[in-house]
Amino acid sequence: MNKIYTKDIFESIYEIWSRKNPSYEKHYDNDIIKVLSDFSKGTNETSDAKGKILGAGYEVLIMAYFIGLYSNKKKPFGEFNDIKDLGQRIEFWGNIDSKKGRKAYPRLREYIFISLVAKTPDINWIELDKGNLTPNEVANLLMDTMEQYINYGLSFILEKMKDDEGYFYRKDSFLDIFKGLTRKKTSPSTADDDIPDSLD
Amino acid sequence: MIIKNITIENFRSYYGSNSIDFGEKLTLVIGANGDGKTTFFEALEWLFDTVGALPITDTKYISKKKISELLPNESAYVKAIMTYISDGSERIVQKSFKFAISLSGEISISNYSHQLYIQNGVEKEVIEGERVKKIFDADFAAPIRKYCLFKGEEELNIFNKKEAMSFLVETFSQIRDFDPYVHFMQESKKWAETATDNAMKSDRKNSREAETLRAHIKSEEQKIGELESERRNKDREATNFKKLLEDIEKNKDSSALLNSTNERLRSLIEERNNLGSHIKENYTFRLLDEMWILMGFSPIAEEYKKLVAHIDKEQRRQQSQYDQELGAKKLAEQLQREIDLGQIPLALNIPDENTMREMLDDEICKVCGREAKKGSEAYNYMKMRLNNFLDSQKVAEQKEEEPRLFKYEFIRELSNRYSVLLNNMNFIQKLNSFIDGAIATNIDIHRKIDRINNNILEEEDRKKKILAQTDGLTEDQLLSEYENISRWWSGRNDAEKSIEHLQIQIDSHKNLLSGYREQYSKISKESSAAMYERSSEAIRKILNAFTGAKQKNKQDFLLQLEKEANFYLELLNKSDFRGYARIEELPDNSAQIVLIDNDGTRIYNPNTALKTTMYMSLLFAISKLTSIKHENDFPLIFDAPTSSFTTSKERDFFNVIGNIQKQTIIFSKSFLIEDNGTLTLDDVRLRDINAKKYRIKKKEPFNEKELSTIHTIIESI
Repeated sequence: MNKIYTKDIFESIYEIWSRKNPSYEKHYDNDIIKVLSDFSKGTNETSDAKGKILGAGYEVLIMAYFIGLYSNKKKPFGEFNDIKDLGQRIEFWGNIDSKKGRKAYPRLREYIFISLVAKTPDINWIELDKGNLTPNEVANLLMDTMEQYINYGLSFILEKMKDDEGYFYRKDSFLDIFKGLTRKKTSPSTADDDIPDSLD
Repeated sequence: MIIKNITIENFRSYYGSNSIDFGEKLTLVIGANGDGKTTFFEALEWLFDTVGALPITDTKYISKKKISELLPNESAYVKAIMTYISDGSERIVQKSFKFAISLSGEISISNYSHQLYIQNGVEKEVIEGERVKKIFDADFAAPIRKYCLFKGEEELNIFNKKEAMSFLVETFSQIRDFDPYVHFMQESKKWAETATDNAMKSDRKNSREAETLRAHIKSEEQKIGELESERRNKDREATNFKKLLEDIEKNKDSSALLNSTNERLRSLIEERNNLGSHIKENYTFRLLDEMWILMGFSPIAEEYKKLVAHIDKEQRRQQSQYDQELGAKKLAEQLQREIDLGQIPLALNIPDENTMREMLDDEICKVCGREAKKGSEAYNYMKMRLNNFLDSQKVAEQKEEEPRLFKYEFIRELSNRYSVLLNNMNFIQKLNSFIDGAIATNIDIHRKIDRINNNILEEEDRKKKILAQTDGLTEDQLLSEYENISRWWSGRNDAEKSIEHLQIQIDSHKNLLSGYREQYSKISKESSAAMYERSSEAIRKILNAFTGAKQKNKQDFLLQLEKEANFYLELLNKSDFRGYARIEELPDNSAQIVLIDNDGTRIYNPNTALKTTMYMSLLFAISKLTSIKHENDFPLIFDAPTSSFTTSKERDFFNVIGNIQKQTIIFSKSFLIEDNGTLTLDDVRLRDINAKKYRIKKKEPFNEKELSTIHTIIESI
């Protein structure tokens, strides 16, 4: 079967989505992103030698996304909150120089995409293939899910930080969170108030 | 430059005119203590000084004997004259001043002169004033002179001067040749980046994103700079503490107790490092880098599968319905056509194509069983039916041109992605047990390391106590010494930890910076600034190549220097233990030369003779590189470098030096034998040495309490 294109170049939804930047509430810059990652900040603050547990700012967003995803909790932006983005398209996420002791993880983007499709069931893909919906509209719907999960995840992280300032400087901080969110069915004794209810 | 002759006149103990001719290899000037070796050396320092390090005239320079002979208003000269070959011509440099004594016995100085004569064929050009300094500095550059004249054994380690390494690298390596290129490329980089930035600013589509990235890049560059400067400070701090501890250790180098403690410590630390290298517990990074974060992905993959299956099913259902509707419409049109022709509305494909061809061949209608001879109406009707069927098939083949229900294939993209996901499900399903295994391994390693750490602490404490022990210390002094050592110990450890931590931060910022640069470059290439960005990128690459080459050049130079130094070290210690000399770069851009044993451990306390030959080897190596680089050779002049040598060591040493193709001038008190209170030359030992040889001594008789009776004479041996 031949492909039918309306444009000269066929672009997949994945490509269109990955050129976007998810937005988040601006206050999280100072509350979380600058605290946990190497995200840019004023030069007078750099003497603060406290180790950053994450590299680029988007790594905080990935963590927040998966917290929202595994909690199955979305949170829309607050009505009066300013929003912004990192100015780093998703297509660059995980492209880490492997020489610097880290490993690149570009494939994680594909899993994020898959989860977004799974968690945005309202998209009418039939209408998209028929041409009654534009790919950009669909990509925007995926971004909306993504932003809501991230927004929930960031609020979750902030709560953790408020409870225990040093929590994220522990080596297994995020690991414990994810274990708690994904394994509680097999180990009910670890029930924690912070762990949201399972999805129905 | 080759020194042909040096003449000293009325310079301190050198009364009247005294001359030495030099050979092209070794010249040995032998004299006992107080005979005037150092005075000769100092006369040279005065003659060579063009930077005002020494007074240009001084009554201290004047021969007391000469003064004592002068009548009032009579005068004489102090002179130091050197004849040398440079640039293929013979030159003479001379410093002199006149001195006189007044009726009241006061000494006056006048007529200071600094002159240079250049012999051009038969003509002699006289140069005076500032030009003398200029020409002499060109013949024998002031910085190089520093590495040519050495007084005693202490001065031989040129790396005691902090600036020595950068001077050597700057002067003798090719590193300077890179500077104009590096500078030009740095400037070009700035221009190209400004051009890109300006073009990006006018590119409305990307300007906001570009601006953010530019801010990131600038901030990262600043941070890296700050962190690197902090690391340099910590490097210095660690080096200082290390040096303090090393100095103490040097004095205990021969202690068997210390050696065995060091041995145990070394093996414990090795074991700990080996174990430590297997710990991978940066779990937050592993969540991302190794995608552990997918530990809960199975149910999501399941949801995705269900959703895509549902969409796919629905799409197929709609397609089938559409096809049926389209097919029914076509069939209806066909039937209508046949009805219009007044024919039996039998489906076109009944009978099928093969049956119809058989019917035509057999000339029988197998539908009604009647004959249908070729050319009959029935035969023609059957033929028409076959043609109509074949036509209908053509229509089916042209189906692609019919309007399609689905114009795009995004659902297929989802299905394809599911196939890929399916291939990776094994990884996702096993992830949890893999993570648990990895954590358990780390915990186990930690337990082992904790045990080793306890042993290390015990050994370290033992070592601190050994280092603190010095004969004759009271218990309090011992305790305070122990506390000092402990403080330096932890100071060094803290600094090293900070360095490690800073390095991680630097690496991570460099990583971020390169990410931001990559993104900036990508969006620039997509914009109207593409041309500028491509130029910037090329320039950045060239600049990196130049700076990399510069660094490599420096390392190569130091390695070459080390190799040459070891060549001489081997030569000067032919039948003796010598180890291996290693040149180490220190964080403050200085260097040190150290002796390393065969097993790679440092020898802290080599005997003085070995140390001296190591330093001299380095000097010979430098001198060799100098002659290659400048196509010009410089003499090495040593005053009493072999004071600590044994007789046999000295013999070997001079035998080797005498055969090196290098002008070397050594003032030494060796080769003198005391015989009934008088010193005589050891002719037997001297005979074997290949050198021009001189003896300097005080002319007899003299009064040992009366300086004005001292008169040094020089005799050729």
